Amino acid sequence: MANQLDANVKDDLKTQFVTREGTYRLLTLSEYSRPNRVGYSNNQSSPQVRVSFVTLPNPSSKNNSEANVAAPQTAAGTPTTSTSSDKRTQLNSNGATTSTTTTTPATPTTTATTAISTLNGGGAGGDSNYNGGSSSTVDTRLGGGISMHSMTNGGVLDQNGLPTNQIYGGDRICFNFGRDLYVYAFRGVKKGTEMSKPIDKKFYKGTNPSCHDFNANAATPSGAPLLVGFTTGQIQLVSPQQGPRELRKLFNEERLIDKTKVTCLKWLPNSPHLFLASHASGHLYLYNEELPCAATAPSYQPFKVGDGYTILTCKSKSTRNPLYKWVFSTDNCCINELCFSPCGSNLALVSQDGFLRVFHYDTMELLGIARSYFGGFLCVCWSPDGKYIVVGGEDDLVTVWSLHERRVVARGQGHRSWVSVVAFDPYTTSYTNWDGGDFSDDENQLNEYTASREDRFSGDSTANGGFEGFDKNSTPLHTNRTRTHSASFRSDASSAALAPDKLAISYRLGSVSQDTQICLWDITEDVLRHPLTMRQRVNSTQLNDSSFLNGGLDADGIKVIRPVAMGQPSNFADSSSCSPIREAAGSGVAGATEHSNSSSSKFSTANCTISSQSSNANTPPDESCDTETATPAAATAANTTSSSKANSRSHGNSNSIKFPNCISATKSDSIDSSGPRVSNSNYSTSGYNSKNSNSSTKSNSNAGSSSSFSAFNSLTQRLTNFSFLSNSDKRSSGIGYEGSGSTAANHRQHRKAMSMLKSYNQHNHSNHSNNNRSSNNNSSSTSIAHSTAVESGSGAAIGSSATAHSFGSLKLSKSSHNSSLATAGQSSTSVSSYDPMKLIGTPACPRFEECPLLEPLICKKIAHERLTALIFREDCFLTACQDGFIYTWARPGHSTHVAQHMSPSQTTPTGGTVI
Amino acid sequence: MGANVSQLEREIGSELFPPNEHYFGLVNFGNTCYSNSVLQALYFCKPFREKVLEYKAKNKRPKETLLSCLADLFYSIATQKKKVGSIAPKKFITRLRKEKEEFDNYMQQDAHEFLNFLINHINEIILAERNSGKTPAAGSSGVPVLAGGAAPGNGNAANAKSSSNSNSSNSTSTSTSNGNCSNSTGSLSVLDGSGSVTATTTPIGQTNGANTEPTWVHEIFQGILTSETRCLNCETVSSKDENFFDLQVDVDQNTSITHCLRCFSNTETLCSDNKFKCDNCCSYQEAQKRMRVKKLPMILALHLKRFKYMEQFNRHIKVSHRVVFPLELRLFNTSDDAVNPDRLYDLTAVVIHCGSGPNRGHYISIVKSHGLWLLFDDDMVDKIEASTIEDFYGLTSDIHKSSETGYILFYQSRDCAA
Repeated sequence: MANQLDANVKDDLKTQFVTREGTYRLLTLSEYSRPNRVGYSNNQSSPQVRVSFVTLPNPSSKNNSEANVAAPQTAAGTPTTSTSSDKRTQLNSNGATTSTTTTTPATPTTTATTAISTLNGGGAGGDSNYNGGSSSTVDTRLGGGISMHSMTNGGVLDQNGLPTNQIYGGDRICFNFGRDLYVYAFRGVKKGTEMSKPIDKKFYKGTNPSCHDFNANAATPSGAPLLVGFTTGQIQLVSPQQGPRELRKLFNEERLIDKTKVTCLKWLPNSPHLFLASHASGHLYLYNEELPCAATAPSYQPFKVGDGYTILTCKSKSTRNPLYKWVFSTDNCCINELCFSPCGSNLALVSQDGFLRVFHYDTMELLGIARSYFGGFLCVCWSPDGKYIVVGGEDDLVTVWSLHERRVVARGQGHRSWVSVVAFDPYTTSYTNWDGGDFSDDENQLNEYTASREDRFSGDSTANGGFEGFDKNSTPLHTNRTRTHSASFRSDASSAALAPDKLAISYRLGSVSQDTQICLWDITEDVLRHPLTMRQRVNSTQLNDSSFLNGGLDADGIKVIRPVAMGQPSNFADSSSCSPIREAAGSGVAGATEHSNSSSSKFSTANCTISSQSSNANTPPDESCDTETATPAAATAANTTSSSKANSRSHGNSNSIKFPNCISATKSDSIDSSGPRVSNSNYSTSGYNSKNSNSSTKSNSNAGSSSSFSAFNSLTQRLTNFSFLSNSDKRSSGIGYEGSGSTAANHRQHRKAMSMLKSYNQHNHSNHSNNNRSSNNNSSSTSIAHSTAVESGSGAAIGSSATAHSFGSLKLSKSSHNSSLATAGQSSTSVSSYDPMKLIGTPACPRFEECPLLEPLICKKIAHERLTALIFREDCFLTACQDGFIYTWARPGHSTHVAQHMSPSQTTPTGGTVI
Repeated sequence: MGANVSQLEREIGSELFPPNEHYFGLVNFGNTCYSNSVLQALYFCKPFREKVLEYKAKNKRPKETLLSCLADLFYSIATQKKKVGSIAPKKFITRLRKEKEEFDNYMQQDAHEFLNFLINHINEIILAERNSGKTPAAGSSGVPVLAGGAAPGNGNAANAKSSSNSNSSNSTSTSTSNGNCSNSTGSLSVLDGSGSVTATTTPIGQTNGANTEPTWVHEIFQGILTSETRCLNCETVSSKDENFFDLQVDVDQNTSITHCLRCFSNTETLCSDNKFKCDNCCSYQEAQKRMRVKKLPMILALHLKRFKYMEQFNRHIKVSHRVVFPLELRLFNTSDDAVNPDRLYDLTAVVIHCGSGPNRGHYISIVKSHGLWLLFDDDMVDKIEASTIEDFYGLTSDIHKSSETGYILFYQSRDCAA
C-alpha cells in the first residue's frame, strides 16, 4: 500500500512509458496550447483546463446531405438569436444567405476586419490558398457585463499546402485556459499542430469559460455546436455555419436561472437540441437550445420527488428553459461532473458532497449511490459496456462501482493527490468478444429512442403530459432495443474469443491527478467479481512479509498490478478439489441455455447449496461471475480433461455475458423469460429492480456476500474472506464459514444462514434491505418461488427454486436470500441515508480494508502542473495540464515516424492487449 | 471595528447569522499574528472552546495563568453584545510574554511552536491544578521533546494507554497489542532529514506515573502513534506507543495531505549511524520502522513542515509546495488495532502563513463556523467562499517567493460534533 510512496517524487517528466502492449510516446509536435505562449502565467486559480473533442462527419461522402441538414438548422436558429438577445451584435444575419455558396467574401456589418470565407463545399479540395487574412474577428458583448472577442480562422491547411480536410470533417479539439477558449483542428498523431492557426479563439472579459461540450450528433463537416459554460453562470451555444461565422445563443443570460459557476455541460446522447447544465449551486438543469429562457426568474413546481432529490419544472404557460431543474438534498453538492452511460439511458453524477448518484435518466429514478471514502468526487466515467462506473476524487482514490450490484467493488490507490479525471480506454479494454460493432447497433437504436425523447419537448405540451406519453412510448422501445442488443451480442458470442488464455474481461482505465501523474489501471473481472475483499491490513505480524517492504516493482520499474483476487499459486492446489463444482456450473450453463442461474437446478444437494446460492446472488446473466472467476483457477490448477472442458464451457458462458449494462438486468429477465411473468414483478416501475435485488444480496451485508463467496473456490481465499468478516462485523464471525465449500454440510450452511440472520437483526446499519431481509425471512417459502421467478425468469430457475423447497430448512434459509432479493429490489431506490457516518461499511462506501485495492499498472509523472484532462483515442491519448498545454501521446505503433501504421482501417481493439 | 465589520454582518445577512456566535478579530500587538491566528483557529474548534469556557465558569477567581487569560479572552468574545468586531487580547499576550521568554519580544514567531507551547502548557496547568499539592509535571516547555527513553517495561505504557482510551470519548479499547508491546527502546527519537522531530509527543502519562488521568486537553487533541520496528536480523517485531498532540508531516510538491500522511507512515530503514537496539539480539541492528496512528484524536492537528532548514543558506526557507487538503478526511495510516480507524474528520480551521520565510510574513486563519467560511486577519474578519480555500494550497512553481499556504490544519472528528 505504501509502495509507490517511496518512488522518487522529483523524477523527471516522462516522455514515454512502457506497458505490456508497448511503448507510449509523447508527440512533441502534436502539442496544443495558446498560440502565443508567453512565459509562466499563473493559471492555478483559473477554471480547470478542460478539453472537448468531436469528430466531424466526412465531407467528401456526405457533403450534400449534411449541407441540407445544416441549412434549415441555421435558418431556424437565426431568428431565435435575434429575438433573444438584443444586446448582441447581429453578425449572423448574413450567414444564412451565404452559407451555400463557395468562396463568398462576406462582409459582416460589425467589427469584423476581414472576413474571407474560404469555404468550399467540395471539401476544400482546390482551395489551397491559405492566407493569414482568412479570419474574422468579432467583438461581442454578452449579457451580464461580459464580452467576447472572437477570432475565427477560415481555413487551416496542411503544412505542405496540400489539400486537407482538416477544416471540413476531421477532429476538433476545444479547450479553455483562463479567460480564453480555443478550438483547433486535431491533426492526430500524423501531423504536427499548427499552433498559430486555431480555428477559433475567443477571449472573454468579465468571466471565464469553465466547461464546454461539442454536440457530436449535430456535427456538420464544418463544425459542431459547442456549448460553453462560464464561471458566472451563463451558457453560450456556438453553432457553426457555412462560412467563417457562427451562430451564438446565450442561456441564463441575466443569471436568473442560476448565478453560480457552470460546472459541467453535456448534450443528451444523440440529441441535437437538449443538454444538461450543472452549476456549483448543486442544481442541474435541462435545456432545449431551441427554446428561449424565461424572461423572469423561473418559478418551479415539483415534478418528481425522489429519495434525496427533487425534480422541478418551470411553471409557465409555454415551455421554457430550463425544462427541468434537479435539486439534491445534501449540502454542498456542487456537481463536478456528469456522464451518460454508453447506451445513453443512465446518467451518473458526481458531486462535491462525495456522492456518486446514478439515475435512469428518462424515468428519473435513482438507481444507486456511492460515497467517497472522504471528500468530494471530482470525475466520473462509464465503462465502455456500461457495467461499471469509475469515479475519482479528493480521497486520492479511483473507485469502481458496479451498476449491477450497486456497490463499490474496488478502489485504486496510486495517486498522490486528488484524481481529476478518470477515463476508460475502450481500445485497450479487452473483451472476450469485442468486435466494435456493438456500439453502432446501439446508436441506431438510440437514434430512434432519442427521437421520441425529442418529441417530448417539442411543442407546447406541458412537460407532465409529455412525460407520460413518453413513458408509454419509450418503454417498449427500450425493451426492443434490449432485445436487439442481446441478439447481436449473442451472435457475437458464437464467433467469439477462442483464445484459451483470454480468461477474463479486463478494463483499461486511465486517470490523471493533481499530482501531475497519469496512472493506467487494468481492472480485471476477477477483481470486480470479488464479493468482498481478502485484502488484509498489513499487520505487525506481517511485517515479515515482503509487503512491508516495497515490492510490486518489476525489473522495468513497471508497477505490477496485483489484483487481490488473483489466486495465489498455492490456491490452485486447493481449488482443484473444487473444480467439479465449476464444471457442473459450466455444464449447467452450456447444457441449459445461456443462463448461469438456470444451472443451479442441476446440482445435487450439497454442492447445489453453494452454487445455487451463488448463482442466485449473481443472477444477471451478463455477470457469469461464478464460472468465469473460477476458470483461471481451474485452467491452471488441473490439466485434466474435465477442467479444460469446464474452461471452454465457461467461455461459452462468458460470451453470453456480453450485454451492455444499462439494459442488463431488465433484459436478463425480459429476454429469456416470457414477458408477462416479468411484468408481474417490479419490472414495470423501473426495470431495474431485479437487478437491484441481486446487488443487495451480495452487497448489503457481509452475510449476503458470503453466499457468493462460494464462487471462489480456493480455500485460502475463502479463509481470508472469512477473516475479513470477523473483522468488519464481529457478530457474524460466529458463522462458521470454514471454507467448507464443496463438502459443505447442510447443517453448517443452515447454521451459517441463521447466524447471519441474527446478525442482521443486530446490525446497526439502518439499512432497509437488511430489515427487509430479516423480516422476509419468516414469510419465506411462498414468496420464494415468485422472487426466484422474477429474478431469473427462466423455467430452469423456477426449477431451482423448487429444488430449494425440497431442501427444507436449509433451503429456507437460503430462500430468505431470494425473497429478500425481491423486496430489497422494491426498496432499492430508496437510499437509507446520505450520512457518510452511516454509509461507511455499506456497499456504497465500504471500509478501506473491506474493498479490493488495485494498484496502478503504471504511474508516471508527465507534467509540472496538475493534470486536468484525459481523452483516449484510437491511435493516441490526450492529456491536458492546468498550464494550458494539451499533449498527445501516441499508442504503441502509432508514433509519427511510423506513419504507415496510420491507415484508418487498422483497428486495434484487442490486438494490443492480449494478456 | 467600523465599516469592515458591519459589512461582514451585511454580507452574512441577519437571518443567516448564526445565533450566539461572534466573529471578533484580534488586535495585533506587534507581530502577534502568530498568536491571533492560532487563537482564532482554537476558538472555532468547538470542543476546545467549550472546555475553555467551562473552565472559566468553574474557576471564578483563579490565579492568573495562561489558561485563565485564554478563558477570559474566549469568555469575552463569547459574551460580546455585538456580533462582529474586534478585541484586544492584551492580557493574554502579556501573560504569554511572561510565561515564555522566546515570545517576549516583537519578533515574528512560528505559529506551530506557539500552538504546541499553548496546548502543552494548558495541559500542565490543568494537571498542576488537579494535583495542586504536587509539583506540576516537568517541562515539556520549549521545543517539542520526544518521550524517547520512556519506560521500557510495557506494563506502564500499556496501563497508561488503556486508561486513556477508556476515558476518552472512543468506545472500547482492545489493547490487544500487549504482547507486542515489549522491546521498546530509545530508538524512537529518530530525527528526520531536516533535523526536526517527526512527531510531537508529550511526556505526560508516561514519565509522570501520577498523572495517568487524562485531561480534557488529552481528550481533545491527544492521539496515539504506534511505532512498529522490525529487526532485520532476528525479524522480531516490536511496537511502542506514543502520544501526540499533533502530527507534523513533510510536504511534497503537488500532493495531498492524504499522501503526506501516508508518507508519514512510510517504512523507514534504520541503518548505519541510526541502528536499532534490538532487545532480542541484544545489539544494534538494522531495522525497519513505521509509525501509524493507533488512536485517532478528536481534533487532528496537522502541521505541514513548510520551513526547511537549508544548510547552504544557514537558515530556514519556506517550502511553498502545493499541498491540497480536502474538507473531509479519513486516515489511511491507521494501525491494525486502531480503535476507530474510519473516523471521519471535517476541516474546521486552517492557520495560513503568508510570505516568504518563517521569520517574516504574516499569519492569518480561516475557520468554518456554522457552514460559513471566515477569514481572520488580525482584527479583520471576512466571509469567504469555500472555493477560495484552494488559494491556500500552495504554489506549483518556485518562481514566486511569497505564498499564502496552509500551515496548520485542524480537522475535527464528526462523531464528536454530534
